[in-house]
Amino acid sequence: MSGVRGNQLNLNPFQKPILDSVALYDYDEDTDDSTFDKVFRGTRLSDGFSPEAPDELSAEDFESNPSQVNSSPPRKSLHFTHFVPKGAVRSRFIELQQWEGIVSEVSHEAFFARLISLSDDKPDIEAEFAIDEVHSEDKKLIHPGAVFYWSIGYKEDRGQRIRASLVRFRRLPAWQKHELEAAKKDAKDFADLLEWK
Amino acid sequence: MHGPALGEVEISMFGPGYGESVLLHVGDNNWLVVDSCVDSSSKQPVALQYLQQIGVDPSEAVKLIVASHWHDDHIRGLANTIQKCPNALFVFSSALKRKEFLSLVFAMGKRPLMDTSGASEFYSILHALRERKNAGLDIPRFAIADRLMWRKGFSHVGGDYGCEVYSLSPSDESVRLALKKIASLMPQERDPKRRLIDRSPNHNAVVLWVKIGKLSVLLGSDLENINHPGCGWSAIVSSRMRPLEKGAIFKIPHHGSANADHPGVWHEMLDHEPLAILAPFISGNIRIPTKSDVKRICSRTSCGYSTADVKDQKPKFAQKVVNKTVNEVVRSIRIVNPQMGHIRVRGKVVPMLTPWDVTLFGGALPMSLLYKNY
Repeated sequence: MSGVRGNQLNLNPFQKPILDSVALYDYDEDTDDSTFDKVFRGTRLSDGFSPEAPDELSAEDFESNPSQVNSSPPRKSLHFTHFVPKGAVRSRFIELQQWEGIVSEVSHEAFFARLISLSDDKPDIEAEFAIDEVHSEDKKLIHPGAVFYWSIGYKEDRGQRIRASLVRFRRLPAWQKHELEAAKKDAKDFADLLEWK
Repeated sequence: MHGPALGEVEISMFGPGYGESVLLHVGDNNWLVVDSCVDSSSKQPVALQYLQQIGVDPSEAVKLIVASHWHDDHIRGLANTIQKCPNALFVFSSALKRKEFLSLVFAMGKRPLMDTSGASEFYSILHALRERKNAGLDIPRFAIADRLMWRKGFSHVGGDYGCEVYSLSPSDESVRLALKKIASLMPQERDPKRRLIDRSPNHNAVVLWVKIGKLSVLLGSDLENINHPGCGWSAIVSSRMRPLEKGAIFKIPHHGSANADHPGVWHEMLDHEPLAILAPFISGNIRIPTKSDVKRICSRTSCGYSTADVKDQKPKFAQKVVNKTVNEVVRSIRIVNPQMGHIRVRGKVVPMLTPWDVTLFGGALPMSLLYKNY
């Protein structure tokens, strides 16, 4: 993971970011979207990446540490983080707006989702997306209740600037037997405590 | 804004388009809260926010809090309400104290994936109930068909009167079927983790009958009909144990959907031309009441009101490039809950019922105006 993400230069949260209202993500052209997957899948930009919690949000890490996945991070804590990969920087994404989405309904060719802005305090919105807007690898993840991230910005590559919309689904670990058994035990203990028959 | 007089009854209904809450003043600064939704700006429970606006201290004045069911459009902010109202008795469906539901809440609600869901709010409610138990406060009461949940008497210059709150549902058969349904929502080993979304027909919601002197109010929650005489509205209409008066004010069930309509309710349980109130539900492809629902309701009463319109409002983004890209990518887009609406009904019940004073705030409007210019 660290090899992919490369060195992290965390901005001081009290320091003004390089650009207002954008986040920059530099990535190596060779890894291109796969690097993007590492950045976007299973994480949210609002989590920030601090030295105290390095590399905590890869899809692989979710498997081994579900508690990281399940914590609900604060919504309005956008930190600007500038990722610099170990190799030469050739491409980068300048983010203008990002939402966290949750799928509410799925039909044959489209899905509805509720979107919470991670870039500002604007009210929640609901949007209908064509399934074709989703990367082919992520289409199998489109189910009611699935969580994804939608980013709008510019992708800069070798002197070219392309306006881009990125929809990435969060990969979450499967339920494990011990978690389900713990829930049943908690339920029984609670009912006993309150003497609910 | 000022509160009702001590001898004045108030029924306030709040709803922005997704979510609803009903607040009743039954006399002498005694308030009942049925369900909860939050103000999108302040994130506070709208019922508590309103009480504070009119100078009422919720910690003293709220005497009863009811969770009619666990769907998140009815219980957002309810844990906060319970914590801030230590004098209130908490009531919820007897189906929700069972191991099937508690297991679901501890599995799904303990680890909210995003924002809040009905399960995560109920997880917070259970935490609040544990604190109450430790503090020696009232334990909750469980609603079941035809059960007296709360009563109090009032003495005024105009005369004495009492207030009684009955639960008319769920029936025993509804509880049995609800537990089966809830058990099916429990994830299985190796299922992917997702947020819990339950859109199945609701035949387990707690319907309330509130008697305040000579006034009766029917609060229909989200109760729907299923093809079973022992469940839903069929069970309520046919019950011989329910209060037999007729209601003058009706909170229309399940946002006015056809599936929640039962002609027997209008003929046998309500006055002619009752005052009817509802909160719409707009989510994804679902938009209720539909145009035909509005037509049906308006054919039954001319005194209908909705807390919000069903029209969409498109968001506008500060950066033109974001606006342009959004419009290119999505098929449709709208602001969720653009404006909280509030229907306020006030009147006196002693020495005789007075005509109702209906005031609309925010996005609330007469039912007959829904779908006009749509």
